[in-house]
Amino acid sequence: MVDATVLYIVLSILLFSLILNLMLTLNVMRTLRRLPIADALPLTPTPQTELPPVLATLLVSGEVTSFNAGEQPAVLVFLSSRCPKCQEKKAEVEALLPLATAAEVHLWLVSSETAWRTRRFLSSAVLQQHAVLISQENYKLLNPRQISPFYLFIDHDARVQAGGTLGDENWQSFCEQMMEIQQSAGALN
Amino acid sequence: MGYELFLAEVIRFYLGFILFAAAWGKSRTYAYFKQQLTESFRIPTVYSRMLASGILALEWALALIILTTGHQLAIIVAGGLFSLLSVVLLYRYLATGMIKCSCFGEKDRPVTDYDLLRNGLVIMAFMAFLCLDNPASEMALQWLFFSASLAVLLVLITINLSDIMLQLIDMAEGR
Repeated sequence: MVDATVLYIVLSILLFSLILNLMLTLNVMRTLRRLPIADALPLTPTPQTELPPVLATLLVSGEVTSFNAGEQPAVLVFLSSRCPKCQEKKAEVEALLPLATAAEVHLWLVSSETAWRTRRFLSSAVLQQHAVLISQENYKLLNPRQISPFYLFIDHDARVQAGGTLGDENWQSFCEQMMEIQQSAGALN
Repeated sequence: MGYELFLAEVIRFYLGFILFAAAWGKSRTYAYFKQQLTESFRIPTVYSRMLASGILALEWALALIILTTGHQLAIIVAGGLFSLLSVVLLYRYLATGMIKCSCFGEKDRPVTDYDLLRNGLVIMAFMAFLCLDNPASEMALQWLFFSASLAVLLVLITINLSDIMLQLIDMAEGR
């Protein structure tokens, strides 16, 4: 029979190694997040090529749809509940929604997170209306680096036109275009 | 030696190290912590300076007192301070949905649900300690060592709860 004192010393050593293990693992995790591993992957699917049909489930109704339904051009916006910047981008996207609808462009908020998390993250009913859930495989197909906030422009033939980070040049010119369309529509009325 | 004394010692070390980690984290990111008091908690710059140094000094002092003497009063004061800060955090979180807090030195990461869960767990530990009647007997050194290391492990899991949970969710969802 081992002395109780020895037992507690052994237990303490085990605990310390567990602590060390946890600290090192967490550190590796944080280091990995900083490394540009993902840069080896392309930013977007190959431009000008047609996307394979990606099935997407509408968050609110549960209906299954595809991104070029009705052969309209579409904007796919990838936000994640995980990224701090996405919280700030929600308002910008929400403001774009009526403009996109007026310009006959589909705007989808694409997520591969669970329904309840997406619902909770988007919070506004208008944004939820435009949210679709896709599988993780398809998510990687559309957004290879799995970055957010990210966007893809798809034309009426489901060909990829452009993609990038929300707020980059292409995105800004898209926003300006939407504004112009609204202004000219306003002038007509 | 009864399990009550052991439990009380583990919780005492736990609370002491939690405060220590909070004080350490805030000291490490002091400028950021002060800035977030103004930005996320809407405290005017004039007061945030005073408040930041006040909270920090109090946390350091309480951590040291709890770890060395385990004075009941220090635990009550620390529990009050921690609950107060948590209520403010919860209120701001519910009000804006997007706040940053350098509670344990976490930078450039908004507060998540799990951070609030973490604070809830710590408050429960405070209450558990106060519910145990604290027998004033001394523990043998190897016991003290064991309970302290157990507490450090629990503290580590507690303060990294958000990262651990998000990682687990990623794993479950196959990312």
